[in-house]
Amino acid sequence: MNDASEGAVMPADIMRPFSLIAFDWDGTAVTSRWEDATPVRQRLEALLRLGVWIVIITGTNFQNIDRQLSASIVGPHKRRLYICTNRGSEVYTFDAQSQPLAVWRRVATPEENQLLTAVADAIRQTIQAHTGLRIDVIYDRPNRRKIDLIPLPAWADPPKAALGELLRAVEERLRESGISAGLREVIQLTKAVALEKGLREARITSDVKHVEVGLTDKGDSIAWMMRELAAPQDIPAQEILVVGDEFGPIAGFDGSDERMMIPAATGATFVSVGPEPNGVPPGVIHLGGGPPRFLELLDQQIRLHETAASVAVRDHVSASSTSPPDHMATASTHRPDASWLLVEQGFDPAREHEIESLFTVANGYIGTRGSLAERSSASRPATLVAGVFLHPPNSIRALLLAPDWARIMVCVEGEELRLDRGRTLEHRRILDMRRGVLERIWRQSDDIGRITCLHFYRFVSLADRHALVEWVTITPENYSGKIAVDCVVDGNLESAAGIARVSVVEVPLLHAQPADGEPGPATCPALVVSLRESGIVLSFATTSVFHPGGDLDVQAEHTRLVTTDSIGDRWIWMADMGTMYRIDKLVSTYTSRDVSDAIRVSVQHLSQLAEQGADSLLQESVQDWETRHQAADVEIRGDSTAQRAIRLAVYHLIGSANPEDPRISVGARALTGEAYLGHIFWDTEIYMLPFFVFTHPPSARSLLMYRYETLPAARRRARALGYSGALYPWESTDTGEEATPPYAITPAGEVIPILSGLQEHHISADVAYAVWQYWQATGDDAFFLEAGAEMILATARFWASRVIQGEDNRYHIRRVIGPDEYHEDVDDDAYTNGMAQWNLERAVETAQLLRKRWTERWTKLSRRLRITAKEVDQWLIIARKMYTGLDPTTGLIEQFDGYFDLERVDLEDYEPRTAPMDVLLGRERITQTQIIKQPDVVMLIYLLWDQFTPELREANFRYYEQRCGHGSSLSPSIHALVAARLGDLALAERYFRQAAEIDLADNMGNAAGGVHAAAQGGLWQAAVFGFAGMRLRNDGLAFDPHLLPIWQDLSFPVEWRGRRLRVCACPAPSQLDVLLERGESMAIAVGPDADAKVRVEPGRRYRTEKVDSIWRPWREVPT
Amino acid sequence: MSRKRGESRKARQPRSPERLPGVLSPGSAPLIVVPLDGSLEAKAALPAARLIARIIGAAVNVVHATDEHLAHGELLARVKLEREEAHGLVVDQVAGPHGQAILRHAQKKRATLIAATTRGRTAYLGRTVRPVVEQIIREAPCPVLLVRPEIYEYVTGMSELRRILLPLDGAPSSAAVIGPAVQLAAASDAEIDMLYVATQSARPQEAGTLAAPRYVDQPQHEWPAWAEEFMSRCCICAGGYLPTTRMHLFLRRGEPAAEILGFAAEREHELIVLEWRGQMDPAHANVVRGVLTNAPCPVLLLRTSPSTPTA
Repeated sequence: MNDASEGAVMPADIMRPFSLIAFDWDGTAVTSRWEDATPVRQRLEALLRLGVWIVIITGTNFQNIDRQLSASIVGPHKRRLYICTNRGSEVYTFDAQSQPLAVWRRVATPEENQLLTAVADAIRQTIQAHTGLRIDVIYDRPNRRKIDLIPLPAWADPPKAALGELLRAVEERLRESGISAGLREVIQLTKAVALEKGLREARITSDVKHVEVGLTDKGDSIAWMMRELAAPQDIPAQEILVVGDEFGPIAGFDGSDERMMIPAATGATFVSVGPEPNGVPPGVIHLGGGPPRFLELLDQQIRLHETAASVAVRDHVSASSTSPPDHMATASTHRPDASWLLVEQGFDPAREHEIESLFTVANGYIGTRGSLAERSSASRPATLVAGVFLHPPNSIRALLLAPDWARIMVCVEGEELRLDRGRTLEHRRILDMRRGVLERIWRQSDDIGRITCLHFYRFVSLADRHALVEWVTITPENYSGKIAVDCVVDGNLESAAGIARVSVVEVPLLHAQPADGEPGPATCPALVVSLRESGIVLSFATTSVFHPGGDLDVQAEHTRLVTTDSIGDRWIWMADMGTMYRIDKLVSTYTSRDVSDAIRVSVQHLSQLAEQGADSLLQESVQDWETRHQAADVEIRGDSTAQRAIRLAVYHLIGSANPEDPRISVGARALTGEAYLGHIFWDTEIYMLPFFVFTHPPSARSLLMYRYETLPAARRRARALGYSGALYPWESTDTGEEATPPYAITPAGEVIPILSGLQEHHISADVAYAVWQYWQATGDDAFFLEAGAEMILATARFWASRVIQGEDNRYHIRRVIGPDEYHEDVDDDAYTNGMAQWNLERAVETAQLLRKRWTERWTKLSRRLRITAKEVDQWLIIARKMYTGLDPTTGLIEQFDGYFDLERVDLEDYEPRTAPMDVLLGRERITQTQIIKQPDVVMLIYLLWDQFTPELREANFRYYEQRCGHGSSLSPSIHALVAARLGDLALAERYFRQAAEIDLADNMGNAAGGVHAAAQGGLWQAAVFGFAGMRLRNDGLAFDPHLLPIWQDLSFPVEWRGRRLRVCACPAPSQLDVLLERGESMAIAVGPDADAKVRVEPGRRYRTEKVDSIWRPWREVPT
Repeated sequence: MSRKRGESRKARQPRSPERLPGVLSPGSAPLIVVPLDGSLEAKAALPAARLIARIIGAAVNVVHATDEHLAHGELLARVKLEREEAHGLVVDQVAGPHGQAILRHAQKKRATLIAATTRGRTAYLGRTVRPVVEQIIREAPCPVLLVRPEIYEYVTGMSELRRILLPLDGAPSSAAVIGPAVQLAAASDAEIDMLYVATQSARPQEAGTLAAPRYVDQPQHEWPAWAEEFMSRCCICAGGYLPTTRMHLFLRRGEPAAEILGFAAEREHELIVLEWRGQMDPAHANVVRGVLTNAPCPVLLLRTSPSTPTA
């Protein structure tokens, strides 16, 4: 038994989409048969449309249910609705015209009818003779007789909610008349009489008012359902949910819903939403909460099915007719896919900061950590707005901690609900990565036992990046009382003390006269943060809406909360037990970076949000998330861990970038935490950008335009260090100036000078690489001409000034730091030299291309930049004579001058370990060894793959992989990628899993300050560029899949020059399918040398198989 | 043992103990039990006990386990206490096997702390602590303060606590020792040095553990973030309070016991507050045994157990 009322956590088992949902009607779905069932109908219709089978099981007749529910449902989806009426006697469904159709009926024989009547009459006579009480019998029910124990006008048709009072009245009536054991005695008497009369299979039940003797009960409905619906539709019991409200015993007899727990339904999930005062039988999950909770359950199912359905649809699209066959699954039979959900059960204060990071909701403009709405001592809430940096004098620039807009505090009878007060019965946070929504379910019992169920939804809209929404539903489960809710935007910003000025500004409102003549408020407060140094103004405006529960007459008292540094609303009302109330909090935010009058615009925008409403805002945002996922979702079937990790990566990447703002890029921790101060590194161009290039080019373009916007600063930096061209800063912020802290103080007491800002110059080539990759992949000539070409030329010019010609007549780059930051101030770092060489070559190519194809542009650009033909020639000479460190005898590239002479340390001797090698050995010692922090030569080989021979790739990977300590989170993903390309799947898997758990491991504490956005990008690259082996070619794309054997398949969409290609690879037998979903025909190649080619036409699917290590010619297959 | 002292800090006023899980003051009348077996070595625990007693406002109860019935004067002589030394002490004798008798006594008196020396009358070759003390450590109903007899001179000269060493391994359960350490520090106006020793070790099993950062992408950002998270997480796990005590975090690498001892000597700590997970066999408690072997100051041993998340 799992009884939520006893404080157990609702099992995760219920958090899956069920294919068939059966439920009791009166007391479960509705409070009474007279209430408006529209909320139930809407949800049931949604589920029916999603392919879910719905079975209603009721004791009443069909007409009652049809009037209240089914008559209003019209459409083909209605054919999945079944109504089992008259306590197991009849089953109805609906035909193509949505008209009712009786599909089964138990008809009593005349003998059975006589027996039923005889039993009922005997009971009536016995009681009357014994007590003199009036007892009625209702004869006109099919297959049963109802013995009315209290045929009084006051109890003519008692609602379920009055069950307790009814029970008292019946028991009192019987006992006062001499039936000492009350209702129980009547039931025993009925059983005895039925046996005596020969009615051996009698079903004796009671709804308290009546004792019923019949031939059927709800068990017959379930039996029919299992036999006639579940079996033919191939729905296993595990995919069936049965919900009722009376499973537990009442007044000593079994609850009527327990009859549904028949052997044929073993394996189904049984849930009770009833009060169940005497507990529930084993195997029943007790949720409580009545019909409101049932509606929540349906809402949850809708969300889960929407996820499963869209996955199934994509499966369908990417499926072939032959393999693998379950690709063709429909939504209704699709197995639950929890990989779209990140679920945190309970509350672990030690891990709270990690959870907050992982559960961040972000849209590229703003990010809000997944902190508890009411906050706790373990909370570290943060809202970060991209591009809004603090500029403290003589200090490092850092992202501003923006006002905390997501605070909601709930008080019950004056006591604030907190996790550390009273008893937590249930606490769960669910990040719905598909929809971009953070959900939180919290049931809390306060010190005197009042149980409140809260359900929070939080999102920042992807459709309208200035719209922030949080709503909460509140259900007092076992009490009625005063509830107060404060919805606050809190500007008490500790991190900004003394630097940011927080104030509240009342903005006049222009009102249309409301219809009822009541004037609204004249002003709306805006919480304003003003940054002194940058002059940026950040404005938040908020409003909230109270939705009463079942009783629409409930009025809540509304008060506006305004202090010197916070704004918000307070709602107070008398809440009824079992009723669900909802409060929507809407927030609008603008900065002076967006509009000239951020304060006024935020208030105006808030009015629009209020008019639109939270549900509509959610719908819009979900739609945009859906669109993004359609272009980005990577599916790894057969490996739920990998699947969840890659979905988390894609979720956070989508939330990190704003395609509408070219003035800012993505920081190392994106918008998920304050660590790394929001600073932007090469992480963006080399690790994250490829994801955007191939899934959402507008975002990629915007990120690259940031580098163009900051090109003047890069030029200044190059000049300041005595070079030409453009040197991008190692750490960049809104201005593009160098923002690397000059030193670090470790907890070991060491003061480490940080030389990256002075020496880690490969960043300039990294930017050029990203520009070229974007242009090649998108064909965005406008970008190339407007910005890209200039960045490539400016960075090449930097390299030309940075190199030194040695006595060997080769060009060298001295005193740099490569990606391997364990070795600083080195000469001829392989990655730096290799990328600089490539940068110079692309600049030459750019110059030639512009001169030839866009002569006018070249003329203007070369004139403005003063680039001469001689300079371009010199770039080519430098590139050709660049020192590469290649030892032709071994095929090894020396990582830097002198590397081969360093001490070899066997890293195996230090395994297992959790600390990086520089911590274990010390910084001084590690510089004397060959231990590297992250791939350097291997990174170069990956990025410039086609420039190296297979032998050279293999030799260098084997050599450096053994020497890599993976002291950077950027390391495992690239090793996974290259290992996969080389076909070393065991190694690839090890690194892929290591990369996947960088943020997800629960015992490493890695993500507390924010998720590792670059590692997330690296994981995506490992899947797409590594395991699928995708490579960008001049005329299209090439693939060379090497999939883990446990994977069923790997599939993903790719954007390439206005086309969308869907790729699906299977490991055994090796097979690759491509389907061009959008755009004109394109070339696709497969294999290590990309020699098996095909020209794919739109809307057509092509397949190739690998046989004996050779990819067979492509063939078209049916879509 | 001679150690360089800083300038007198008499001017500082000790603060009241902070409101914390009252490990060191569970009852209304705090009491420190000091078992003396009649050896001079065992007496080394007494000055340390007196100091802690003064800080937390406890009484000191000397107890001697013997089956003989000793007169008062004989008892003092047996435990080698001069009359002046006995001033302010409660001196009891208990019967029965030594370890059990002392434990029963501590239980009965609801002792706040048992203060003992690691070795007494008998030296046990190769053992860090004598069997009786080992039994006390294992079964004590309260924390145990341990003093090596070799530092008798040093503890005799101790007049205040100025700096407490608190080694932590980043596991949430180990953070339980922070409360008592902060309580002592607050009462004596001492500061706390938290020490994390990075080792070559397998991944911790306990969820929520914050070990040395596996990845240091950029030291200029990673270390401040890690230190902040370590301190914050420890304080959350210790009860979710914000300490007003001065706390500093240090990181060392190497073998933990050696690093703790080296750091304690280097920073002149007067007390090491050490977590112990309830096992003293050779396969466990390497750090505890290592520290007790050569600790340059008293060691307060606090027993912890792995925590489980709430809800």
